[in-house]
Amino acid sequence: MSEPTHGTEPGRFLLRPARGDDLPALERFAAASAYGITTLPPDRAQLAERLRRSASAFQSGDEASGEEIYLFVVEDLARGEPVGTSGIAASAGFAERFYSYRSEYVVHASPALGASNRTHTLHLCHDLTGVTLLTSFYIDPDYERTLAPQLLSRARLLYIAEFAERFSDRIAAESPGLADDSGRCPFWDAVGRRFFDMDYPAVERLAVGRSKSFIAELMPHSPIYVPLLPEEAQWAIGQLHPVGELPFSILVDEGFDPDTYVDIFDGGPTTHARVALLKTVAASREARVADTSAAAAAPSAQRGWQLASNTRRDEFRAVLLPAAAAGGERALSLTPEAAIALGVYAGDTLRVAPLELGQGDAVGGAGGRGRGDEAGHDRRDGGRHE
Amino acid sequence: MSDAVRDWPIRPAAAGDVGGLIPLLPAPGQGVPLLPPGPGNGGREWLLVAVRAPGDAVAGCVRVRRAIGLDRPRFWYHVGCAVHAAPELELFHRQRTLLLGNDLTGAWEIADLACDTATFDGEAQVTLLRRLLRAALGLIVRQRATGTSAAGEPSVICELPGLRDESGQSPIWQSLGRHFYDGDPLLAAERFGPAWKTHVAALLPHEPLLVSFLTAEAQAALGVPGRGAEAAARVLHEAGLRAGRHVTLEDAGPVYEGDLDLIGA
Repeated sequence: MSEPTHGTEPGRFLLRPARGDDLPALERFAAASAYGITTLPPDRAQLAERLRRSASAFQSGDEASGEEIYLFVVEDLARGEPVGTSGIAASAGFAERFYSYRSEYVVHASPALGASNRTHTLHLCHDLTGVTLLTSFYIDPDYERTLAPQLLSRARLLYIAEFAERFSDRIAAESPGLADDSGRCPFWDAVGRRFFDMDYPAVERLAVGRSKSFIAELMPHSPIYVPLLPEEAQWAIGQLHPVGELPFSILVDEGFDPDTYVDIFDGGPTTHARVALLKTVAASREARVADTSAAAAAPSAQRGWQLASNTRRDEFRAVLLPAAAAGGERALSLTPEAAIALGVYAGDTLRVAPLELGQGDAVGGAGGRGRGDEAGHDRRDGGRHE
Repeated sequence: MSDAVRDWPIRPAAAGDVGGLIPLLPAPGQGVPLLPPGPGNGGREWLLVAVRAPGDAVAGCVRVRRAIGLDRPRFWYHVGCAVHAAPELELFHRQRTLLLGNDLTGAWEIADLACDTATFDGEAQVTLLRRLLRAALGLIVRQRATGTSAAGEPSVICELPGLRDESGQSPIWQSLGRHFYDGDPLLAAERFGPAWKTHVAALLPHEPLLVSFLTAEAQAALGVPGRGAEAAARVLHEAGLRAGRHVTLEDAGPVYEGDLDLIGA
């Protein structure tokens, strides 16, 4: 693992539920997001409403309705302020159908002509209705190359693993597709536009406050034969907008499948997985807090990091701890700082999982990575894109 | 010339007529004439020719088939309509669709309705085609009357060649068919005869297609008779057949349809 840049010690980061007083930080994130790929509505009232919904989700009773939207922030404890946000929508589409295009390959053959073909088709489907959605990822660009985005994205999975009964056993995340700064979107122009006569930014505006299914129901229900699309649109299918690269790479490393579903508007990849098979979930385990008086490990002796969270639904906290010894300990010694950040005492239960970074998301790697403000078009509360 | 054409006899084709038939046919893919029906055809196919005088070249021809698509599946595109509407958004979209199917199975078919266009002027062509068509419809009436007619075959169809550019390329094929069969459709049609449509249908999309996904040229060519097919289109119309909701696979030529009980054949 590379050393994090600008001296940010990974142990400095804390993931926690977003609170009402995070509103200014969320406003800052929303303003920093590029037009058309914003994950957060640049509107104080809407952001405040989202924070209220999130707070009620964290505090809701034991019977979850599926309508919950959980919003987290990652805080730089040294600065004492949030540097990124991420979310979970418990149930995609909730009361409505959640539409995607599913890639299928149809093989036709004519023995007489000695010919066969394998044709890529896109089928409008509701497969992902009701699955849990990861949404609203945004990290301050200054922190892209730290471990903060890793904590921000993956600690959500610990929350889902801990409170599995509140979530689906399947999970998905939408990523932004190709569109240029003027809002031109090759996939939309070749597909959706045939049914709407409006450009992508216009339909985005139209979709605000409406569910995606409202629009989807105007789309043709017969499959799209990809070879009939203009070449540029064919290329755009499943292509990721560069701004979504960081969160996308984390999810692919977790084991999300990026190849089956695409967004019906911009053709961006909608990754999906079985929750239980995700790297962090599968490797996560319970551990007990042995004591809270450990000395901080010397950075040079660092073996790497593990994710650790408490197991409280409304006061959830997650941090990065020095990696466990091989085999993992059943009891952990925490530094006083870590114990305070997690809000735990000796004898409390933690959920821990190793943070093993994939090849593609080494921290502090070469440039060219996008800003990682994954882009929700905010068609639903909670932000659309992961 | 028209006067003369009016009197030329129309008779079943004989083995010696085959060479003279080939140059008459309007476009490949319509079915290059096979040997005239012999004892083997089971009374399901007839080929009629018009000749000036015994021994002369063939001046025109027409083929009749009974109960098509029962020995080998026949395919056509059905041209349908899909409406996408959202009153709240004031959106109302009407689109044409293409759906591969066997809708016209069991019909009578009039095919290879053609004449020698090099020798005859337009009016003579029309006169000759009109006579050939009348002869074909008369044959159908006689055959139905013999009592062998099966139920569910009240209609008669005639496929016409569709629009092609000067090099013989069909815009529909360029926009649609070639994505699914990369061979030369004209060569395949020549090699397999009418069976080629069955073979190529196996490669084509079996789900409804939205016409708006095709090129503008292809959309404009849908159901439009090709150059050289105007005379045939005219006599079919006169006889009470109409271009219906089907087009051919290879070039989206119109398929004329008629109800034998109504057209008084």
